[in-house]
Amino acid sequence: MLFNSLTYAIFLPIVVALYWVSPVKFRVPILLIASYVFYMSWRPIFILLILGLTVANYFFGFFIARSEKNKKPWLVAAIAANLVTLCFFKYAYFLNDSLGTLIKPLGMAPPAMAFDIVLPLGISFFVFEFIHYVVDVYRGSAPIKSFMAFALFASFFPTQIAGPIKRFQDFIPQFLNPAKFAVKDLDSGVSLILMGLFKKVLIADNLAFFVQGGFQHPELFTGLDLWLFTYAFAFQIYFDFSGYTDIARGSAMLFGYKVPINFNLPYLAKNIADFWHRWHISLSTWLRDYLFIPLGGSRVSKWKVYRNLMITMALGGLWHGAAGHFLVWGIFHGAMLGLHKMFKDGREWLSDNGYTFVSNAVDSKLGTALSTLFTFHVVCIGWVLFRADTMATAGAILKKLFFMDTVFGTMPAYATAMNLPSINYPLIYPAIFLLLPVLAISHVVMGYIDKTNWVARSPKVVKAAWVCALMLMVLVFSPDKSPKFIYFQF
Amino acid sequence: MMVSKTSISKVLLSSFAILGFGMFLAVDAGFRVADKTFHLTDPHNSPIRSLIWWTTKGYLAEPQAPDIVLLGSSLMMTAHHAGDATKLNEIVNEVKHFHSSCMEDYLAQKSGQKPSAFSFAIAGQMASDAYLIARSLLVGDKQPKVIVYGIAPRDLIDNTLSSPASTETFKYLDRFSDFSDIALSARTSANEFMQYGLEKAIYSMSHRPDLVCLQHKFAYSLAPFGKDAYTQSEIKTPFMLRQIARMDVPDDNGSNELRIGPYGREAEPFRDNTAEYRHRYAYIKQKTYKSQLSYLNKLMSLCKKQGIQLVMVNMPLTPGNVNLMPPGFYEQYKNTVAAMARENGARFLDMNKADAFEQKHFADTVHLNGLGGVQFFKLLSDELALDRAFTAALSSTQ
Repeated sequence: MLFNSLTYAIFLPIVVALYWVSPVKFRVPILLIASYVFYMSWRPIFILLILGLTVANYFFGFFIARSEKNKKPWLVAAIAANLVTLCFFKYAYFLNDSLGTLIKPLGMAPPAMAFDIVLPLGISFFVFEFIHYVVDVYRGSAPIKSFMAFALFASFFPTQIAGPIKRFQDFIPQFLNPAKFAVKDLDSGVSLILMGLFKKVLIADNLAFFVQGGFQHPELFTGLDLWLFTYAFAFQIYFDFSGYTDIARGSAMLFGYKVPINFNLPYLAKNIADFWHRWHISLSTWLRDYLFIPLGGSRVSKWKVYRNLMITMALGGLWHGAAGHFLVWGIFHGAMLGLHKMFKDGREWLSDNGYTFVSNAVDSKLGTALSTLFTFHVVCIGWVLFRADTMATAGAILKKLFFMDTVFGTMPAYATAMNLPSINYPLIYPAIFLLLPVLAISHVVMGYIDKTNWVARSPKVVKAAWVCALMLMVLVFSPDKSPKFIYFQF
Repeated sequence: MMVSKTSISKVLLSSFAILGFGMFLAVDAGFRVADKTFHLTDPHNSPIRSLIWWTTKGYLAEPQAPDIVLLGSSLMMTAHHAGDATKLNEIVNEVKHFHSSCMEDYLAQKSGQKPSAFSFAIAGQMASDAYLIARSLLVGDKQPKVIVYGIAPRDLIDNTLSSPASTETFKYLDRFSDFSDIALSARTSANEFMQYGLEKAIYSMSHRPDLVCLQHKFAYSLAPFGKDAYTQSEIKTPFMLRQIARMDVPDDNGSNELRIGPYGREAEPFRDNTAEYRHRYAYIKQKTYKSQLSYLNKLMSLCKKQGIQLVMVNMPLTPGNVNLMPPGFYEQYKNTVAAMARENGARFLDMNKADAFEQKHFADTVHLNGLGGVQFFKLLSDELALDRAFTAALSSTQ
């Protein structure tokens, strides 16, 4: 059941209505049943997986909390159980293929896979929530007593498939002390859902039509064209994933629950570290708390910090998908974070020694604008690695992006490729030259709107007109076939 | 703690989301009234240039009703276009070439009088689509004297068809025709019923294509390369980008995209699509087959009622293709269609003659090439010229 489907549009109001008309003691069971129905709507058999992991982690939590001597072995067992499950479903093919590549020079072949493995939806997200739970219990948090609340924590349908990755300390109290019905939550929830749908079906889905052309056949396009495709993908993935998150947060809000934000205008980041504070926040904070810090974080020697950054980001890349290009994407970000740290340390050293010109330049308005633009382009280069199906395709695109074959090389016969994109359908083709700058500007405008709390301060009738306009646009202009959310595959 | 009636009314009064929903309903109602009063939208317009859109446009532009209308799927469509391209020895534009020169000329040679023959054959046309075309467009002053419907088992059993209402033909014709009598029977899934219910309730939703047309027009007016680009016909986008776009919007065809040349001008190797048809015939959905037969029956009854002479033509297939069908299925299909035709006063003509069509007449295991198209219309005209009911219908004045 996709968030952008008619089925969800009917499922959600029914569950919301049932939830609020029921006595309080029935509300958590209603949500749990609804969450399992939601999960089973894809492949019913995988309910056994989520249920099995829930039972196992529930008991692991108690074993870890109550054991005096064997806390650590129980923790290791719990993490291993979660990671083995994740690796089996997500990385079995990748590991097998990688093994094949390694042993090929020896004239050996990897073992043939005896069965097909289907990746269960949302496994990367709920496994990370389980690991967070057992680690935090190990660190001293009290385990969750109510099995039903614990089961709902992992399976809560608004965040089940693609996060945000929740923290049980924030979430469980909301189950145990359910909020009263509030008009504010209803209004915010509906607005967020409509905004999310708008981002997904109107912007991301239309951009997807355009993006796949360039990324499937980079050989047909010029370097300038490919920059356009890359910018388009940068906005597609942002609007796709932040649209999903808005729907997830809005849906949760209709039940009075708050789930963490995942995005904070990431393309306005001043540097790559700032970007990771604004992009997929629930994942980056998870990686920080459960990977980077346990590795030593930044309280170790300089070189170890670089190592920790690299390991964290490489594994973060692999978390997105079992493919070489995701790993390289992670390594690329690790390297960029390392370079940023070097620059930051150098800048601080200069300032400490009285040379403040670098800091002054970077902190000036122009410096900030240039840093933001530079960071955006670094992120875009990363997106090429992320989006391209293979490393060979990514390499071909990057080569054209950097060497700008239309400018410095021979102008190919198809160089006018993007000059006349007069396809009538979908909207994106005729409007792409306008749309990308508009999206870039909208990022700045949204920043201003958020900063000034403009929506909340508007008169009721303006807010109502906004809801009305979003409903109309989503209903009328969404493509007939809306693709799945990009992050559903992870 | 239950939500009290007081808090519900409080919500209704204080929620901007509910007020927004109310505004949406008001805007929708306003649009409904304005459209009914001022005719703001043109239901014949379409955001995608589908074959049904092109052909309907062509048919409505005909100065008078043609004598003969050809119906059928790509089997009839390719026979018509490839046959005409070969006979005329020129490239034929599939979205603009509607009259069957082969049929008109061969019938003229036989009878001395040249009838007009318009082809409404469209790739993927199911029996339900043929019925909908007949009841929506082949009526009134646009009613032909004869309908020649070329059919094969695949036009009744398409295993990818989710429901009769899911075809582009149904969706397009539904915009300006009243299909309320089959609205429920033509839909099969819960999702389709929900969609239908919403479209009935929300005017803007049922008029999405009209609003998307406006959206396109607006987008083009903003586009930096000028307003002239909004032509609804020519495609200027690079071939590969266009091909990729068509994977998602396969029904969208520019006027410069579907062309077919005369047989022999370019090498046309036989395309072996056995695997595709093995799959099609292996998973015959009996529910679809029965449903499509019922629409075929409706088409026959309609023709009988309207006084249109209907000729059912069993289209040529390669023997290899027929052999892929489950044992006995092909004979059972032919017997069923023939019996249905007899009951409704229509003629059933079996053109799948092994002695008339050889491998060289086929582009693949089911579609005729230019040579086959010419041969098909020659033989069909020979048969029809001998049919008294057919010649009587043609010479009648309506």
